[in-house]
Formats: sequence, structure tokens, C-alpha cells
Amino acid sequence: MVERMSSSWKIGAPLALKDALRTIRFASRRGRRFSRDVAPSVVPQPIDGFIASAMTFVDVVATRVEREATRLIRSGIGSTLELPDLRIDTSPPERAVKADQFAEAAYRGLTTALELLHADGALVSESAARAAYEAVTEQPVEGSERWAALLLCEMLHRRVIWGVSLTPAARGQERMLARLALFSLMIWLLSSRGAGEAQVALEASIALALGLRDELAAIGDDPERIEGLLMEFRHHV
Amino acid sequence: MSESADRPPSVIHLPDAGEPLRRAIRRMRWFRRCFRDHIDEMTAQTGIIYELDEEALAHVFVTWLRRVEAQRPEDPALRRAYFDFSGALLLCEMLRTPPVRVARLPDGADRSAPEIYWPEGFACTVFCLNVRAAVMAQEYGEAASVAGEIHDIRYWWTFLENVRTDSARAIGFYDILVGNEPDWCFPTLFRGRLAIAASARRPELSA
Repeated sequence: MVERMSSSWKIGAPLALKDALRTIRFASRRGRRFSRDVAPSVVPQPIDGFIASAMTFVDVVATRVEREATRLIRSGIGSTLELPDLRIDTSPPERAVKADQFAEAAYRGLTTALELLHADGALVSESAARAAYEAVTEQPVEGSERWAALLLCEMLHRRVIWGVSLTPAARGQERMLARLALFSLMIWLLSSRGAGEAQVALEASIALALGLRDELAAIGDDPERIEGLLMEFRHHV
Repeated sequence: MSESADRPPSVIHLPDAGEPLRRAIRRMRWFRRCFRDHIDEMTAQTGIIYELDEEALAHVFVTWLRRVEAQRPEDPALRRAYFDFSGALLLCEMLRTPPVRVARLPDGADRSAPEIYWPEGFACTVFCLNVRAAVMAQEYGEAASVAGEIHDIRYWWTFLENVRTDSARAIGFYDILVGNEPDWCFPTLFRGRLAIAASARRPELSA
């Protein structure tokens, strides 16, 4: 039954469904982590045996939910694990890619970037990335860096990345991490690179974002200053 | 300055860039790979285990690139001199924000060997010399040489002491190694070193 449903989902699968499944997976991962790492230390001693067995039950259920959600996302709706080699180097920039292509590249790029930035967990919304793309593309924009800067601010505003959790050493940097990941994505999209260099260029884009960390924190959501940084560094990825 | 000159120590084969090296070094992806390979090679040659600080390396790259772009001369005749200056600036930034630190020295390490006395400084200096040598070979068909001071522990004592006071002094120490006249007064200004080079070339006037 699931298999038949899967084949029909591949044709025009709604992003909302993908995001819903990813949200379920994200929530069950968080739940598992809580039951495994946090709960045992906060539950009072006399009832910890009962709580422990309840948590084990939660863990088993959450593991199954997570596994099933992952299976559906990967096999059911044709989502790939590959990083698409997408570039925005044409003029006008809004014609470079279609909204779906952008949303998928944003999802892959941001999840990869967040991993490399040592996020302990985060949820990236592909449909919010698509909506941001459509909002920015409604009006013609002069220059690909300007367009990328506006898109970055729109994605921040729409909270394309949320639920970032960090290792204890990095706590308090959650918003900054989203900013770094988004800047990495945009400069990666603008970068010139050879065939097969998508991954290494993304890693270099993240390094550039880290090198500009203080400046990115200081400029906030100012699209003009973000555009300036993108212009300055897009050829140095 | 010693008259003896050597090949740069620890010459490594730089990763294939697919474009001129002078351009590739200004790309983060090649710069990172090149530096990592270099540190691996240093470990293989010296037994020193280094720990790489990726964020510091990224910061070095960004700061160095801006300083290089800020003083880039228009005149193509100055390109070679500017390349030397860029290498010196890179070393200066690396010593200001070290992208490596020593995790472990080899057992029985000889503290009078420069690479053991100041492992971070030595590794960064040799990296800059290696990139210079590779670019000189590619752009000008020249085999770069390095002054004999590279093996002199007294040079490294003074180098470290000076850099602790002011990282910009690394530029003068780099110049000694590549055979340029150091500008100790305004080391971070490209125009200043041009004037020094010109006066060094001018013949003495007899009375």
C-alpha cells in the first residue's frame, strides 16, 4: 500500500508533505535525545525506575517513527541525498533556477552547512525556502549579489532554519549559526567552480562565513552590507 | 645576512589548482587544502603532531585577502614585488592568529632545532615560502632559494621575540629569508618597501 502511494507522490510531491515528515523526524529525534540524555538526570530518585521504563518505551516508538519518516522522505517522495550543483551566475538572477530547484538546493546546502558548523540538530524548511524565493523573485532585481542578499534576509525572516541546538560549548550562538549557514549557502550559489567541486566549494563557503563571523553578526539583516560582502568574496570561494 | 642559500625546506607538491597558482591561492578552497597538505607533510617530516584551527585559518585568509587587495598596485611591473609582499603579509597574519598549535612533540625532540623550538612559526613560515617558490617557478620559471638563516636557531630566537612584541615584524624576517631588504619602520606598507628597494639599487655617489 505504501509502495503504491509512494509512486504517486513522486509526481509533484508537495513540499508541505516533505516538511511535515521532516518535522516528525526532527521531533522524534529531539524526544529520543531528551529521554536518553536529559530525563534521567532530572527525574527524582524514588520514581526513576518507572520513568526509565516509560522513557525506554518512548525511545522505541520514536526510533520507529524516525526510521519510517526517513524511509518515506527518501524513497517515497524522491528526495536525494546529493548536494545539487546549483549556481546563480546569470543575469537576470531570478531566471537562473526555478523555485523548486532552489528550495531543494537550499535544503541540501543548509543541512550540510549546519552539520559542518557543528549544529547538534536543526530543522530546515524546504517550503519556507521556496516561499522566500518566490517573494524575492516577484520583483526584478539588479545584480545577482543584490538578489542573493535579499533572499538571505527573506530566509532569515521566514525562519527557514529553526530549532537549532548546539553542543554545550556553543550554546547561545543559535541565531548566529543560522546566519552563518545562510551566508554560506548564498556565497556558494554565487561561486564559480569546476564540475564535481560542489561539496568542496560549500565547505570553503562555510569557512569564509566563519572568517567573517564578527562582521556578519554586526551587519545583521542589512541587505546592502550583505550584498557588499557577497560581492567582495564570491570570487574567493 | 648569510650568503649561503638553500632550497626551501620541506618543499611539497602543491595540489593541482586548474588555474595559475597566484590566483588559486586567493580561493578559500585551494588555500585550505594546500595548508592542510602542508601540515600533514610537516608532521611526516618532523614527527610533530599539529592541531588545525579551521576558524583561525578562515580568519587569516579573510584578513590577508583584504590587506592584499587594499594595496594592490595598478602597474604590472610591480607584480613580482607585490607578490613577495603578499607572502610576507600572509605570514604576518598567520603569526597574529595562528591556525595551528602543537598537540605533541616527538619523543626526545631537540629544542635547538628551529622546527622544535617554534613549531607553529616554523610551519607557517615554510608554508609561505613553499607557496612563493611554487608561484615563482610557475610565473617566472625561477627556482626560489632561501637564505641560510632558516637553519640558524639564533634567527628563530630573534624572530619569535620580535613577533611577540609586534606581529608586523614577521614581514621583515620573511624578507630576510627570501633575500629582500627588510623595511623595519613601515613593514606593512608596500610603497615604503619600493622606496627601500630603489635606494638599495642606487649607486653610491663619490665626493
